[in-house]
Amino acid sequence: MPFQDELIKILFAGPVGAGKTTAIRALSDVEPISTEVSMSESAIENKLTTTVAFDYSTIRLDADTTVHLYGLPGQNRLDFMRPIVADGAMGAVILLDASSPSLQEDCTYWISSLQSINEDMPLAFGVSKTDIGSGFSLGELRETVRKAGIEAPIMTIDPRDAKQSEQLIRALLVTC
Amino acid sequence: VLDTKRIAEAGLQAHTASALKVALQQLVEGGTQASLVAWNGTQCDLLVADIDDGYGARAAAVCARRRGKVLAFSRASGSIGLAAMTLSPDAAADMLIRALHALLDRSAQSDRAPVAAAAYTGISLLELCRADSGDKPNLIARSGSYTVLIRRNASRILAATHRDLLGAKSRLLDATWSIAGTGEFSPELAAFDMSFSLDTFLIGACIGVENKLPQLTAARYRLSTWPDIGRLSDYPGILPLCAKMVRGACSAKELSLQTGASIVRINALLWAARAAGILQAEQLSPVALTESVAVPNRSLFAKALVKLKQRFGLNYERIDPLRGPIHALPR
Repeated sequence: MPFQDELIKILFAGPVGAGKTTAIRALSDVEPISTEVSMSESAIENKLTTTVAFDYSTIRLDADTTVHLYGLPGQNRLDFMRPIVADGAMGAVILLDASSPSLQEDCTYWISSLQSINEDMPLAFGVSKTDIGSGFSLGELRETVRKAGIEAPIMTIDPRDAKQSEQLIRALLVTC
Repeated sequence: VLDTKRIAEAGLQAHTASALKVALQQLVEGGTQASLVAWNGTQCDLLVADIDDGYGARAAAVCARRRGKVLAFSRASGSIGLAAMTLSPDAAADMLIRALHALLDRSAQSDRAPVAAAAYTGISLLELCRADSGDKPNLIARSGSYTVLIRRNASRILAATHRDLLGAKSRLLDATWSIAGTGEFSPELAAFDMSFSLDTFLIGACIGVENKLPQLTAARYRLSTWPDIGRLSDYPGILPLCAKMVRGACSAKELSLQTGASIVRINALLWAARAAGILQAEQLSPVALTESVAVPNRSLFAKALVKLKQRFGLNYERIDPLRGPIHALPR
């Protein structure tokens, strides 16, 4: 078995329904391992399942190097898992839902959550569902991120589109 | 002859409907001619609707789309976007009367014009994004049959149809646009159903006409923030350019040397960033080229980063500034 000298881990964080599982699925070389269960009381229209622990998948770079993609659980009751999953990560993508009334609060919460694990963790922000969030303001979100002392890419994407999810990873890579 | 105002109601709860009848009675006693009918989808001078109710919300949306006046009742905050005015269902009677007065008076003054008179005419879309619209945060821009709404602070462009967006893109440089400012919560905003990234729109549109754009002449440029380029994956060269300009000021020549992008493409990005309000130009002469050449990444992940960037087409940082760009290796 070839020796792997570096463990490369990229995180996907964000609230329930923002598209973390979908983005990981779009990026992966292999079928992701998901711990999804049916939602008994869905707060989000058309969302039938949610991730209860984490998603995991990989991108194979070459024979010796594999990138590990982890989706952190969105539910606050599972926040104890985040430092365990996030340990040693190279960077994180924070995915946010533009149609959510708590968009700004979610953004602040996830920045704080990741910075409590690693203050210097490179971040990139993806915003999904901007087509249905008619009142969405990128300017307000930029201000929220700036107030947190972060200069990071913020991009609106459709996580179902592999090219757009890759663009988000590129944006993260140039900040690393 | 006094003009009788036709007021329609939709989806109101019993106590709100009663309060409305009492308020209208007071208006009539005060000399305003008004009649109250159940909303039937036809034109009215004012629609009073409970937008927490499905039927009321649909009626309000239809009325707002027709640029009609809406007085909405809602318990939810932030629902004002659809209506000219929003009240809580528990609002005091005098507040309801004042709201009716204000809306009917405005109706009488033919205030149905979607926006104020055009502030500018004969301007290109590329320039109008930067136009001064006084204290109005949004711009409604028209050229022929195309209309778009530009929410500059939000970095969004809105349109009623995809055709409008395509038309706006095709007329980017035509000096045929007229614009006017409008408020953040004007009822006419409901007509613009499609929302799109302004940065993406401008960059895509500028690339489409990049050979027609005059060369910007400042010595160096930087971006005040990352542009929204998530949907511009068809132009992979844009992201490295943005990354360079977010980190520090660069000349077009430096950018070209460091990323392999053409000067024409760089100029198109600069024009788009200028229109989006995120470009900062410096007139100082460029410093030595070596200053902005990438330094080797000594992080824990240095070797992996090189492979990752190669995998995602970002190995431009290996470019030798003297010998020029080394193009991405095949995956």
